Amino acid sequence: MKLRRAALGWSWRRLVSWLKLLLRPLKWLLLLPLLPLVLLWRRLPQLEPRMRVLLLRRMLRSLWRIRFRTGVMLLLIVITTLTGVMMAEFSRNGDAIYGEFYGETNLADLVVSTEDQYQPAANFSAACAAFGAAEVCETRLALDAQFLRDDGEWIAATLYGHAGSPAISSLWFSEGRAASSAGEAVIDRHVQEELGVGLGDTVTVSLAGKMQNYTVVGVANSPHHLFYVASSRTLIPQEGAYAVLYLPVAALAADAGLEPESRNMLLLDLPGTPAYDLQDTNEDEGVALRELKWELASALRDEGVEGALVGDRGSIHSVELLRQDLEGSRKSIPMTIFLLGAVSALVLAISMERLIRTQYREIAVMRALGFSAVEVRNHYLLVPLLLGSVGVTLGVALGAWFSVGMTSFYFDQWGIPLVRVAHYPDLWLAVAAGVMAIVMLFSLRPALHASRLTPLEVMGQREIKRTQAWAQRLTAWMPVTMGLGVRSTFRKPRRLLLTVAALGLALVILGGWLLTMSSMTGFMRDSLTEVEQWDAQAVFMPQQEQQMRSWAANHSGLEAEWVSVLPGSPAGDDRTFMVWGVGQFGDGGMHGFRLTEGELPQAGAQPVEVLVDQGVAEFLEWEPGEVVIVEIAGTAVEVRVTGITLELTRTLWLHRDDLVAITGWEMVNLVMLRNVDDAALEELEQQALVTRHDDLVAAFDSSMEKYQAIIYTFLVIGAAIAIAVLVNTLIINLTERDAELATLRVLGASKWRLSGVLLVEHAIIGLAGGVIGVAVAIAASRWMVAVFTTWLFHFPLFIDWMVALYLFLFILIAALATTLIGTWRIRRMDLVKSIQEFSQ
Amino acid sequence: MSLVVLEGVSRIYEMGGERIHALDDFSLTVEEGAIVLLVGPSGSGKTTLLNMISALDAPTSGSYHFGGELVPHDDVEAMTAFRRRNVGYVFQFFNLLGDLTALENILLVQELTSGRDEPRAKELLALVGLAGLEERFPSEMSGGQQQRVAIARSLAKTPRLLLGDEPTGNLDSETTRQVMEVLVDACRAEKITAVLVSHDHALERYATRVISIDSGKLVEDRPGELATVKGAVKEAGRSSRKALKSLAEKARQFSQR
Repeated sequence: MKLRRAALGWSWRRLVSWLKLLLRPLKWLLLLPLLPLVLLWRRLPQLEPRMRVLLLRRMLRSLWRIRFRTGVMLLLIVITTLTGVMMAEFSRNGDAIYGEFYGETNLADLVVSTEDQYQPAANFSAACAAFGAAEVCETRLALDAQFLRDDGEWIAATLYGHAGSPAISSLWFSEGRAASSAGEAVIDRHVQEELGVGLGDTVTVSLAGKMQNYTVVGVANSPHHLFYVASSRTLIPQEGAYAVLYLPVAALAADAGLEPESRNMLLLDLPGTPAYDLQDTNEDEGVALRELKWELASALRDEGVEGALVGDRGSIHSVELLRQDLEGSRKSIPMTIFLLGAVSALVLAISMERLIRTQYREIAVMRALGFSAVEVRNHYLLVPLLLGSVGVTLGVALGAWFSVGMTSFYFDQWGIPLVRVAHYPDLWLAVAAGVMAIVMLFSLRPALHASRLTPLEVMGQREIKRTQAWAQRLTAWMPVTMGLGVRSTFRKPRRLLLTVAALGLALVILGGWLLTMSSMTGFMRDSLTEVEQWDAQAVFMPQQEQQMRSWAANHSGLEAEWVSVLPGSPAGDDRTFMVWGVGQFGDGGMHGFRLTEGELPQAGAQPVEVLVDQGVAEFLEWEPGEVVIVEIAGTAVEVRVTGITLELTRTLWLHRDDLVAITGWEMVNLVMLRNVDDAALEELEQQALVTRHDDLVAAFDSSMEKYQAIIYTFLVIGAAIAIAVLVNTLIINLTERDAELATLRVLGASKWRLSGVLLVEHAIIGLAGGVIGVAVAIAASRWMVAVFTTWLFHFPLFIDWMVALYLFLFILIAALATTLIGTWRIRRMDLVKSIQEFSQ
Repeated sequence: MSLVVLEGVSRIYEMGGERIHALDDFSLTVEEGAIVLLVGPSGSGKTTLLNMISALDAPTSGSYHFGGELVPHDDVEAMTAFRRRNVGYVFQFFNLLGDLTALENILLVQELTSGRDEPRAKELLALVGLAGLEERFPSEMSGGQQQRVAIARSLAKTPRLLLGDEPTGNLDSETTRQVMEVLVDACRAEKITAVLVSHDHALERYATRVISIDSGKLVEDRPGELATVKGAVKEAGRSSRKALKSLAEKARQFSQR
């Protein structure tokens, strides 16, 4: 089991952590390869200025002569720099945008919730005073309700009541003013955008079983609802399925039939912005804050506030999810720049080698005339210097331009009102320096090789390379024309290795991204379509249980599975999961379990048996058979993990009776329904937060469509790079064989026969590149999953072999298609000129 | 019979705005079995003439008949097919394919036309004096050996015409002698007409006809040494010595058995 888990991702996560630790102090060494540039610049003054201009002109003409390849090299450098600048600026702008918005709205540092156990405001205030560490404390009332849409559909809603003008987690108004009296409400800006409600409109809400009408007096964003979902269990926003309103607390309490001083939330603003433990790191950044939270919990208990959950910013679903989303982008930047840079640099190195080879005689002449080795080396270092300088400049300009679009597009998706896009020259410099460093480093070898050539070596004889002995043996039985293609491929093993390496790296981006996305979307879709066997799900307050059961009894034919859902966490850990107490495991249950290890729990066992989801198991290193301590709704209990299941969110599953035994609280707050008709659901929507299965799936598909632009952008970039690498390298192979191909043409070989030779060669490269590319893509996708999965958002990697096959075929077909370029070159071949060159 | 008939052939190139008459109203007839040497200074049009004859290039004006038939001049693939069927080519720098052995270089050309014939390929290598070196790669051979392989390759499809552009330009005098003897013997044995371009007048002794060309025009057309009585006697003597040498070698091998 351990080995299998290691194969699934454990070892990769650890490897990534170790690499990060190792590389942290080394990042400054990235600047080291720039040293040759400094030395080069110091050397250049040794040459007479007009000579330098002549040499520069010579190099520019050489690059113009091979302008297609020059263009490809330039394009790759531009893409690398563009992507790096775009992602780096996006990441920093994201930090600034969130920082500004949370700063302007004074996002709470600590959040206390008692869910549906209402407390007098005075108890909260007394606890806050006893705690003493907060600058400001504010209470709130948060109630679940239903909102009536214009089309007559009821949707889930949350109503917040606050006293006066909130100073903590305040509202950011885009229109209107705060609600100040009964019958007034401020709507969240998402409600305005998704449901078309505006200032002055009257909205209808079903609250505690009674209809209420409110006049909209303001439209605002809340820092708690930028990621706009009805429940912290949801990762997929559903447009038009949720409404948030903000009212004066006294009016809200009255409308809900509660005491005027009823509260169930306490927000605290601490001095500064204390660090809190991040769920996606192994370090504990919030040690000091944890102590404060314990003190606060103790103070709350002392003031009679029982069952309070004390959380920090990490427990605010919207804040944490958006933070992790941005963090995911940031984590990928260095590796993306390195990979893209390595691909560009490899292609540049291969092209430089070829250029130098065609200029052997000229180099020999230069050396015979008296140019030193250093001068020859520096002359060829002009290639990466020129292309790199132009490429990074264009890349920075384009990256800065695209970052505006990317940032605006991304934050518009969340409806964040403050989107200020700034540009950061220090990031431009860092990315440009990184790219130049990689490019110069890879170009050193060919330049050094050119500098070491002596006139005698070059002029003494014409170089005839022979094939590898094993290639000769392998092809001895084949028709010579076919065997020639095979031997040509392996004539230069180093070149072949570099080609395949560059192709493999190119596929890290395309293939890794493709496999990761297909795995993620496939997993999420399967989780929604295959695992959830219900037609609708309703969440309600425990007090409404009788009401719900009556409703169910009134509708014969429907199937209902009653569930208790409570918050939980590992003992002594801030990370939280949802605890599901279900009536049934296995056949008949409306939630299917995809066991990866172990077995389903049995009811009534001691200790209590539970299933955990794979994310919980991986992050907490729990294994089937292990006994662990968890806290469920404030009660610590030992449980035995019997199995691991695949779930979208972090969850722990046990029999409902066992859950009742642990908490001492017999209640249900969720029901899964099957065979329920629309009319019944509409009736239910007035009382509970109802999610229809079809709507959930449609929302997921809609979310994926929104992200398609970003997904396809990365795919297109990856595909363009892969094709550029392949075409560039194969063209170099072709040009190297011009003399050979011309000879065969003079001897009478038809272009189709020669195309056949090239086809064999390209097929071998395509096959090798395809196999290695797919292997590299699989490794890359494992790395991506290890880096990007977090406590909040975890998904396993399932290799979609059809996608892998498409990747393989993509490379193979691209390689075979390059034969057309070869055929075109053969057709265009000037044999008269070739004959002249043979004689020279 | 006349194998090659060029009538009033001209070839004009445009270069840097200037019209260059590489060949100017050139007429030539080459009989079957002849070994023709084209000589002339650099830029005289020798290579251009060779390109016309081999259908590597098309004349600007005039006509070219080969074996009584008009040679294609406006379709690249038709010209290639003509070359494939009728012409063997020997280059100055051998232009062997480095990935193929000596034998495979010959088999390659056979595959272009009639199909693989390994015994025939070995026979050709023996004809040029390279029996036993079938599995050697070009990088493992001397210049002279490589050129002999190139000659064997050019004979692989039993062409009617063998063309050579400075076939000994890259060889020393002794190797030149060896290669030319091999070439002449091979042409005679296979009954192949040869047209060779060279700036080396010493090769005249191997030719039945010497054509001097300058500025794209025919300057002189005279018999080569091989066509004279003196040359024929010399050649007979050489052939006899070669035959005797071969006989002696066979006797030695027989006695050793």
